[in-house]
Amino acid sequence: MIPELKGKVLKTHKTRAYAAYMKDLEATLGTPSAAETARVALFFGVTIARDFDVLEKMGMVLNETLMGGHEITWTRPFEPDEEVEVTVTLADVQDRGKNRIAVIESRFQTPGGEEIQRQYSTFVHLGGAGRGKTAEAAA
Amino acid sequence: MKAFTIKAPAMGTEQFVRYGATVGDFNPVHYDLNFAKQLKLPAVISQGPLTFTLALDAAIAENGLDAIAGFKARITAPVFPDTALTITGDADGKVTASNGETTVLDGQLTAR
Repeated sequence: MIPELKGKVLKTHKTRAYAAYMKDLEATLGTPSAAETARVALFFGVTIARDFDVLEKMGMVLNETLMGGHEITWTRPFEPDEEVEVTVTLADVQDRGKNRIAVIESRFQTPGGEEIQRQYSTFVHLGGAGRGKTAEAAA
Repeated sequence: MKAFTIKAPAMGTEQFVRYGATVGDFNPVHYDLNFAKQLKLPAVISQGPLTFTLALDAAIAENGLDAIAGFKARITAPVFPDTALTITGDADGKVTASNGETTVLDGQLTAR
């Protein structure tokens, strides 16, 4: 059951790299470099649609789930207000002991298909081994 | 990469809420003390990506955005409100964030 989930697209979403959000993040960080940082760390792919639907689709319970790691690579910073298409995929999922480990890939592209950024976010569902939904249920 | 040590600005609950609003992370563990206590936590905790962003911001401050193509990190401990993290980076691009003796993030930069 678990291998069937790997590679499955969990969500696609169209948005913009809103300049206003860049300003918000810059203000939150409050450092001299924050404006530059906000152009690459503007999004968290898992919550791109402003919910935890991606985790819930896999049967991961939010208050039992920890973030274990995060990675972003970019070809360039986001341009303010540019259109972005996001594809969120379950890159890997496996059970280790009592826990379920999921790696979620988020790809950020222009409408023309230029890749701007890729993220890998690792989550640990404590006690989640053997739980969750089938690939069909996650569709 | 340049070696550095930077004291990052302390993030409080207000910053957790603002960051959550920016990226769409509305998990109550970041702003609701009662919810956090139900999870046996002594206080609300920072979003992992916010800790990640603070460490990346320190690296960008020292190296410039053009010198970096990526950052990968493990989140190793929760960060509570009003904690001023110490961010260190070495010439090989290894970055750590710590709160006193506790390492909360262990990461690696990718040079462009």
